[in-house]
Amino acid sequence: MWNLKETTKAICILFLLCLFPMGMLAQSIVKGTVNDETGEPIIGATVKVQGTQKGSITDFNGVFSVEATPNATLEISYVGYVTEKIKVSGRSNMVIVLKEDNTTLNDIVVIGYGTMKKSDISGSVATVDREAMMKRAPVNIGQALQGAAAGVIVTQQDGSPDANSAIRIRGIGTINGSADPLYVVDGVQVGTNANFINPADIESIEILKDASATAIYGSAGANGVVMITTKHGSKGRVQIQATADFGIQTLPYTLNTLSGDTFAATIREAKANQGEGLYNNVWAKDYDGKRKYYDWQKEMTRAGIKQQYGVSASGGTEKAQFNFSLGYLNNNGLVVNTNYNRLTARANVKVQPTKYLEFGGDMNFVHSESHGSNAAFTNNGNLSSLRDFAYMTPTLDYLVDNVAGGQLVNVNLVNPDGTYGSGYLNTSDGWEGNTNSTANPYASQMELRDKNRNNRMFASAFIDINFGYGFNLHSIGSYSVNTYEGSSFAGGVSRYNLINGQYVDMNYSNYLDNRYDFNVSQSHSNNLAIETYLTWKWNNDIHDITLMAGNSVSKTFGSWVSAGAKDFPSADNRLVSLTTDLDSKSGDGGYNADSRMISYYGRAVYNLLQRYILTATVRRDGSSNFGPGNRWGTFPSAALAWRISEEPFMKNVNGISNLKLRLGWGQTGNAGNMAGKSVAALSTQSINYNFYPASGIMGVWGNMNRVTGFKSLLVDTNLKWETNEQLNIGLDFGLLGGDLNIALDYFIRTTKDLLLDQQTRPSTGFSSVYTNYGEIENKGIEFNITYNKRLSKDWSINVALNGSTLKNKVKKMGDPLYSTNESSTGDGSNVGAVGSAAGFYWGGHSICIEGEAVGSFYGYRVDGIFQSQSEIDALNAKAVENGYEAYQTVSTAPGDFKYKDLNGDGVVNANDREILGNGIPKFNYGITLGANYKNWDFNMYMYGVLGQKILSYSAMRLSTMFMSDDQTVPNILKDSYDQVWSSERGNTTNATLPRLMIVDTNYNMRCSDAWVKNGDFLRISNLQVGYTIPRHVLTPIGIQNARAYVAVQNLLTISGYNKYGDPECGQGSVLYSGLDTGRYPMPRTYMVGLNVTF
Amino acid sequence: MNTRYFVFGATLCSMIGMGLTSCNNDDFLNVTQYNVVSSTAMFENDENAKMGMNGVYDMMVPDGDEDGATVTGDWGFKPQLFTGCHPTMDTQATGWDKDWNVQNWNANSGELLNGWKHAYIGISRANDFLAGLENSENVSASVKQTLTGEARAARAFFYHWLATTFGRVPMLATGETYSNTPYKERAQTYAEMWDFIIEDLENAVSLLDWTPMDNQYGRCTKGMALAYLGDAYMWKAYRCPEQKPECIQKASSAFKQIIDSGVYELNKSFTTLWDAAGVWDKEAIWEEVLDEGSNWGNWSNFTSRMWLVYYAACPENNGWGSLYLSWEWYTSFEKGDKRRDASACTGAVHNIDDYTTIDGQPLKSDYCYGYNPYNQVVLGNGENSKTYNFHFYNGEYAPSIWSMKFWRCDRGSWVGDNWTPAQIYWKRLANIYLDYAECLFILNGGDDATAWGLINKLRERAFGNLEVGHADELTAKYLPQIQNLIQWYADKGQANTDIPEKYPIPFNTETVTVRDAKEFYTWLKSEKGFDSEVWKIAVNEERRKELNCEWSLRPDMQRSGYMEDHINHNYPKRNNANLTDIPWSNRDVDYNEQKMDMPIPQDELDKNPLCDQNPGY
Repeated sequence: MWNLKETTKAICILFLLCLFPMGMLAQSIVKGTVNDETGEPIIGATVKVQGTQKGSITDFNGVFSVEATPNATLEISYVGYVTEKIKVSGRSNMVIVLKEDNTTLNDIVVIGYGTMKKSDISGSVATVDREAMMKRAPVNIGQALQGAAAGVIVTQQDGSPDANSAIRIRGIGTINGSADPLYVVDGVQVGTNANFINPADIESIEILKDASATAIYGSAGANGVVMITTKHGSKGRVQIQATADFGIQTLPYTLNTLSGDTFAATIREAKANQGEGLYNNVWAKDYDGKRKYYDWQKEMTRAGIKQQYGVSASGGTEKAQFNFSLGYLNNNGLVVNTNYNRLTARANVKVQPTKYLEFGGDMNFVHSESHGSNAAFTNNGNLSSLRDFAYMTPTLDYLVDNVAGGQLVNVNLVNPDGTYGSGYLNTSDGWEGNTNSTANPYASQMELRDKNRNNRMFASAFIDINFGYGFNLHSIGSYSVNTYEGSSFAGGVSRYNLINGQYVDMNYSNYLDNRYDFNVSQSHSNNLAIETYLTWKWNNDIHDITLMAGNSVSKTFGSWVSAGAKDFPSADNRLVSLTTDLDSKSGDGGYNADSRMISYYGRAVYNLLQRYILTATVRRDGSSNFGPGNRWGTFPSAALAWRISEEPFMKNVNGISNLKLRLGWGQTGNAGNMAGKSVAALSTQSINYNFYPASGIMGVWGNMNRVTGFKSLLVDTNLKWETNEQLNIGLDFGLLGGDLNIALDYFIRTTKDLLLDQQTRPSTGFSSVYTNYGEIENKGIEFNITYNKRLSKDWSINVALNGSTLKNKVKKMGDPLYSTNESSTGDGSNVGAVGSAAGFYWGGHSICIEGEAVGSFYGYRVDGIFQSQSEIDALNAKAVENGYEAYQTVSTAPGDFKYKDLNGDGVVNANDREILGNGIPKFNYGITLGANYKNWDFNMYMYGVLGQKILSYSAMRLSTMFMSDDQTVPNILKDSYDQVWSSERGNTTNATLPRLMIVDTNYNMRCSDAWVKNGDFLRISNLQVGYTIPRHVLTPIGIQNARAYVAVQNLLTISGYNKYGDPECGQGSVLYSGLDTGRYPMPRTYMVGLNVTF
Repeated sequence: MNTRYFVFGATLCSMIGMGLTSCNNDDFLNVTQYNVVSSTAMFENDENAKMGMNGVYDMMVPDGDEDGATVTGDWGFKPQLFTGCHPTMDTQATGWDKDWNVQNWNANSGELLNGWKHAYIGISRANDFLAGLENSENVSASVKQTLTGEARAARAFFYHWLATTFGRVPMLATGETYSNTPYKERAQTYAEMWDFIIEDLENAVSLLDWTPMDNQYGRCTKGMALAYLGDAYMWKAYRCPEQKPECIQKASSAFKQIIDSGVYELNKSFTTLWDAAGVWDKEAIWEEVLDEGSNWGNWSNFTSRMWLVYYAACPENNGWGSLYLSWEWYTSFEKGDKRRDASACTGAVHNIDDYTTIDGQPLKSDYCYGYNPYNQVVLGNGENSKTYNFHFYNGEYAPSIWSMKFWRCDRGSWVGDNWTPAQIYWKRLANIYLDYAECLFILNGGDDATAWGLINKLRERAFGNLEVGHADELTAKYLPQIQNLIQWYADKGQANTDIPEKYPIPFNTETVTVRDAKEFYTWLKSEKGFDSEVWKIAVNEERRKELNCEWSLRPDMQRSGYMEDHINHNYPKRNNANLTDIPWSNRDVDYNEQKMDMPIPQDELDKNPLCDQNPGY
């Protein structure tokens, strides 16, 4: 990191040197070269003659020249290197080698409303290693943060080109609110999504984790704060940097489902288990060897190309610096007809017209377009989920008129003339039927004509005034606008099948509404903010004081419109008013309520003897989201650091370069999605009441007068923020001369006054109220270990290991909250839902209950498989004695799961469900291994979890033939097929899965521990080899630096869960952690890249 | 340097200035909620205020289609029938509702919680409405006055049901909301509770006219408020015996005002009271009308709020078994009392001729034996129908008698006609006659001639004597809607659709002799061995016949002190295992007076730690 303080000092010295009278007596010119340990010259190193004002800066070749007496001592310093003091000893030409400083204690770290030396920080602040981050070639901030810091858990929600990530810092402290961290970019709060930032534009990232650090952001800082500083120009020559990354994405694995006629055999077995013959005669044995099968995992995916290019220019003079960058990303995705494009542009300028004044501004623009990756596949399925591809019925074939022994139609996905074929269209035959009502998923995906476009413009301007005497005032104003446009166009499709040697039009319109259907929606959101704060610094040899106080005001506003219609004259029409069916026109739109905030904040840092550091902050926020009585909240914090290694008694302790104890406490708030919920309002639901004339008449012949009405909503006018309170104890070690650095933290994070829909006494006249009630606790230990060692001139190695444990518990919340992921999470992620199964014992699969983790799994316990009817009869007889119809269902038969009667009442029903675990990993870790040999560098990054459970809806779908969400009969894993109870195949006592059933009368598919799987994994996320071209080759052609690399991303995932899908299964909602419903596959990407600086 | 200090000073002042102007500046933080209708909108003008009151009236009927609960009987039927009628044993139930036959209701009974919640929603809406109306400046004085009266009457109506069903309940007044009253104890004394209700009703009486605002029947009126006021005073007299004379006097005064007003009069025929063509007839003081208007048969837009027919119909004709009437009730009618045939139809019970009514007439009806003459449904499912037995067996025994008050304007098949136009009376003039008579007997003794006169007047109507001379007029008014109904089913191709030429139960054309009430009930007392005074037997036995399947039956009989006498003598304990061939109910539990006050729902106790339970639960 650039050391601003040191550089400024060096420039001042240089300035003074220029003024110094030349040719003083007894002075001679001392020349020299400053190199790093590999022999590469260091440009811009400061060379100072100790005890004088003389000094110099090394040039492009690392050479310096300075006047000094023969017995003078030179002090050579450079950011990131250990400062050396060397006596001239009469030499006139010196070669000085600077050693890399691995301790980074003097690094300047960005904290809220200011910066601080890392050594002085008393809270828990993690710095992301930018170099290691960029080696992962991230396309968004989520990927950039993955595994980058202990306690920061990033879960990719899927592998789609426009994928989001769920980012959780120190666990989950909310149920209804947002659990996403706050992003602050160049001092401006930009909300909980920073995907608009091109990672290539990032200079540094700091993550404020504990409340002593985040409390300065008050009501917005509950889930941690990610501080992003973007690249700005620096004084010196203009630098042009160009990067190019090119990758090919492939499917890293496939799910091993049944192929060919074995699938037809499973249908016959399932129907026999049901005591029925075939309904869909295409599955008859006679057609074995004649059906045309498809591997949907292969048909629906492709090798996708990902390209990312960037160019930037930066530089400046003493009084003005600039930076400009442009980036382009094109990601075609693995699934056919999916794509994401992004253009980013960024420009900033900074000028210092006088010594005490600086001002500047940033402009950021992002345009993105995505297509095809979030398309719904009938009933909550997902056209781009690998698990859906795996379980879809592997053929579209059918018999003409479904006549037994009749003519088999082999359906093409794509006919030779480019038209699409079709499975049988009659949806009522879906029970053992073909893939789905649209009857050709490949065609459905290829025909997608939806588009999502986003534009985001973000501009800020600041002024910084240095008044002298330690006073500095900084004011920054920002404006951000985000526009979204989504559109869809459907209809007008055809299907043709080869029947009797001729391609026959399948008359799609006879079965489905095939009219052109166009919908478009647009929205925009604007944010205006201004922040001003004054800082005062004072220090002497003993005391060092920094005081800061500030004020901020912000306002967010926006609007939306949507419109649509059906029936257009042409497939090219995208104008609603061109519809030929005026009744189908629809439109809506409106203003969003403003969200406004006023804040006051302050911080005091007192550093005694560079050993004892006390930091205290307070913030007072007023928000328009709350009722008049509860708008203002105050969020204090305090932290203490003791730099033990600076104590006199530690001076003689060898090997410890740093030892610091940190203790912090603070409060923050979380307003979640609160807008409008504290405002007394009337229901918009319709109310009807009938008035009559005297002696009126009811019914169709009646004369009543129906009137509408208003009703009040129950609003808790005392509504306030959720309060997060966090206690942090940390210890930082620097060992082995600074090569080994360890940071340990223990935290307790408690959320009080949770925002919940709390059930009220019935006599309120309402069943529930959105109110503050309840408590959640997160506890954990984090560690971060880095080891950097130069082994020789040619070799160096680095290892970074971070890990965190987490225990999440709901301590108080009243009545349990049951939730069902019935529809996609709606956060733009490509995550499916439990779909139709929700109505069959998957309802309420997520529970929040006192004593357990948020969103724990809730369901039945399997107690083996029934082997005989007598076993079932005995249980049924007892159930009947107790007044029940049967122990499980009247249709339970050998081969079905036996569930535990947990409450012992003789029957298995909803009261026999219990907690089955939770999806919050007990331990998260990330490992970076790096090595450098001469100009070669090697980097491997891995991350993973331990103690993670997955509630696998996917495992259920891939293990049972229960009719699926889209009415197909699921294909199952080969592995499952071998585990299924089957008297026909002689697999009974060793079976671990229930008999095959399409109509699952025992509900073996229900949410139970049979589908709770171990989700531990270790992912080799990035393996990269780079080569930096030697300077002597580059200099003659005017290139300052060039590096090329080859890399493999997502090389390998080691996990016992792989057979069901990717174990990294994130859902946007905190209620569904660890729920795997299948998703867009995470690609393996083979990358090459080049980075050149001119 | 001067410039530097100037800039410093100016910036610092700006910063402080900016801070101060935003500090405490709630104007900045007050934002307009564009996507919600603010609560103040309810009182922006007269029309909006009326819509606000409609929100309160909305709770007079069951939860409707707007809540996605199209078939619920959460209000206006199940809780009222189960607490207001089943405890008398004159009505009974099977299936899920069987416990209501045997005093086996408890704090977890869903119907109690449903009714409790529904009533409190009404109270909460009335409280919010009254709070806003009081502070409104844009509602005209006359509308404000009337709406205040309506809201107070409506609030009293809901509290009246809670109080007569559960005993003491939490009383939430205007201004008490969840935010300032998260928990609430029950009224400490009965006097406190009934005074609250009485105050509302007295205010409503003073603020409202006899005619509803805008001539919209369905709004609370002075008559409605007086009817409940009189009732409230009688309840207070029952609960607070030390204040009984004063309370009965006030109740009597309220009832007298209604009778003397001339606004209300008895329908000429008892039989027509539940017809589609008789909504808000002059006998009606307060009623619940379930009506689809023009949405008949439309699945997507129910406005009837409840498929009443399915609760009331015979299970073999798609009913759900919530309502049967007892043979004890059926046999209590004297020969010629048309209220029996107007109220119920029986199965075609094979050995029905083996039994007679109390005065010796055969039980077999000329019009309603195995047949519902209004909708022309043949009871049962043909050969071997369970309706051929005295007791229908559907897992439990229940008498083969079904109410035609609620199974009249519809059939109850599932093919395209799942609607239920129906009217349910809460207060009609007949209630007032009997309540007023009771007051007069208490005040003046068992020989009060005015009181006996009122009872005899009801009996004259019951025997059809008010129909005499009005048959054509009544036919013209009520028959066309019955013809429309049958025509509707005929158009659907259904069986048994003879378009009727005459009213299903013929109107009397000649006056018949009706036994004097005092003489009859003196005889009945000795015949059955009742312990009560003759006047009390008369008032309450008339209630059984007049107000069967109406929600005031149990509360009135409890308040009158007649329930125990009734259960012990009309439903003697028996021990019959098989009820197929005998008409009598098999009561095997002792009457428990404490059980007449229903238990406070467990859900309330769980979520309201200040609320306690009634004794006996």
